[in-house]
Amino acid sequence: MALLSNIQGVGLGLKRELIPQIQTLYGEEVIRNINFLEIAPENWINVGGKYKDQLDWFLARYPIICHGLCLSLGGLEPLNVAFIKQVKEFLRQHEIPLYTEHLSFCSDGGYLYDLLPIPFTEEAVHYVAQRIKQTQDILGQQIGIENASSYVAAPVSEMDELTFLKAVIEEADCLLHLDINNIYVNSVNFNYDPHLLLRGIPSERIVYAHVAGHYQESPNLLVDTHGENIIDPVWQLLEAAYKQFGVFPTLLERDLNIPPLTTLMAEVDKIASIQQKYSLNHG
Amino acid sequence: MADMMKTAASKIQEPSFQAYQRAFTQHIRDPKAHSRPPNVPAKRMAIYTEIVYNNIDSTLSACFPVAKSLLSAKKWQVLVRSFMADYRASTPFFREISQQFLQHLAAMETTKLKLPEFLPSLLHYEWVELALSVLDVAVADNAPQDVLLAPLILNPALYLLQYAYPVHQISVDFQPKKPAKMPTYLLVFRNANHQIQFIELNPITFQLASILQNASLTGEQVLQKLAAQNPQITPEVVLQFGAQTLAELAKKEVIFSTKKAQ
Repeated sequence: MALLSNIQGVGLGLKRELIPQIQTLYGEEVIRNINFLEIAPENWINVGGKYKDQLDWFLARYPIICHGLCLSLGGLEPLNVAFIKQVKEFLRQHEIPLYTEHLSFCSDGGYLYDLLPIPFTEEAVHYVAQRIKQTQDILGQQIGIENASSYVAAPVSEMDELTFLKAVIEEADCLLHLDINNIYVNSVNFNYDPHLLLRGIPSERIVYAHVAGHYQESPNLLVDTHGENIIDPVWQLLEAAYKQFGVFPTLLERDLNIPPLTTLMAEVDKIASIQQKYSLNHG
Repeated sequence: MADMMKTAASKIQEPSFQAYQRAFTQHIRDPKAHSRPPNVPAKRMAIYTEIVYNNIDSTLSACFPVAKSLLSAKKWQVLVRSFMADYRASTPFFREISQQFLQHLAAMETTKLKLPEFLPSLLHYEWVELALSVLDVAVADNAPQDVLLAPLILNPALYLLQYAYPVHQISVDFQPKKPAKMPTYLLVFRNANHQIQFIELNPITFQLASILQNASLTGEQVLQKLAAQNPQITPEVVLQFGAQTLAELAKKEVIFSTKKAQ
């Protein structure tokens, strides 16, 4: 299970609510399209009891990716090296091949436990890239960086989102964890063409992707809740990405209003069918 | 002194993106005390102040349902807001937010809030359940064959607790104003099936469990110590009562043998 090449097809974010359902349906046709799972290391490092048993159960059956929440790549204090070392040990112990994080910050000398936007400035590029490099040096492997959603454009920003994202990835020499929904959310929140941004994505860096639903607060303000079904424009964006870049592993995130797994599978299956449509083997 | 000057200098030299980030989080932490960064729309900024607050509030609400139910919405909000504004959480692990909240409250000036005196005890008792459910220790299942002869240990996923209030009985309908005459002794533990169990102890059983917490002894040795600590009770009574109690505790998975059964 230790190879990145085992991460294929469609994945699902492993929420606590889904755990017993996956365990019950394991091996059955209805969930055959779940090929890999994603966990937040913050929720599983040094955790015992029933959670440890659950983790062991899933590690024995699925390829797993760590997708973090609290690394705080844009944070105002030095990186939490002790935490990165714990992540490293966790990856090693469980033979987890990949760790990804958000291009955002969640701390200002203390943790706030949410993803906050980093202003797009030249200095911020260097600052964040240096912290990604430091993380990769400690881990001894590349990490993936997720393009984050946001609701506020920093007035101090000096460049657009794509320029910032590309500059950070290039300077840090890291992988891209492409979030399709976040491109769409930001395109509405900041009034740009999501397909135009997608075309500029450094596709050779993509390690895998996220898709999710969001909440429409108002016509020009979307909130990245992962609490609704995926809407058509996001499906179209995913399809456009496969068409331009070829198929890559893609994971469904659902964190709120989680329907029964059998219902959620409709979206997992839809990702699989789009992947099949654009897969070279079926070209 | 050199350090202080260095800090002051680095503050002055903080790049514009970081000065903005700092203004952004200060507003999130305490919107009344810190206005949002200039030229940021109020409606957009409000999304952040709400999601960060709601996330922390829901984590704390899940851990402390009884305490929250006893406080007015306003007082609860004051506590959560104070935690956000004045505390700097040092752990990236979500499960440790509640413990940090307790640390903050212990240091917080709450006189004006007129909180119930039992609140710190109640909060601690509620936190213990979460702490035990995630505690990273393996609960063995070596049931002692003979509780008097086997070397015994307490379940490692266990809290032996003593409170001035009967925290396990506190509810909307029962809110004691003063400590009870006798302390409340509770034993909370995780069994081999990962369920959290609660047992109220009498003072002598609490003593018995305390002896085991500090040393691994055979049941017989435990009871000898217990008898020595209670000269007012005849040793035979301690032995008889103790043997029964040890057997019951073993059955409930509170105590185990350090040796695997043959």
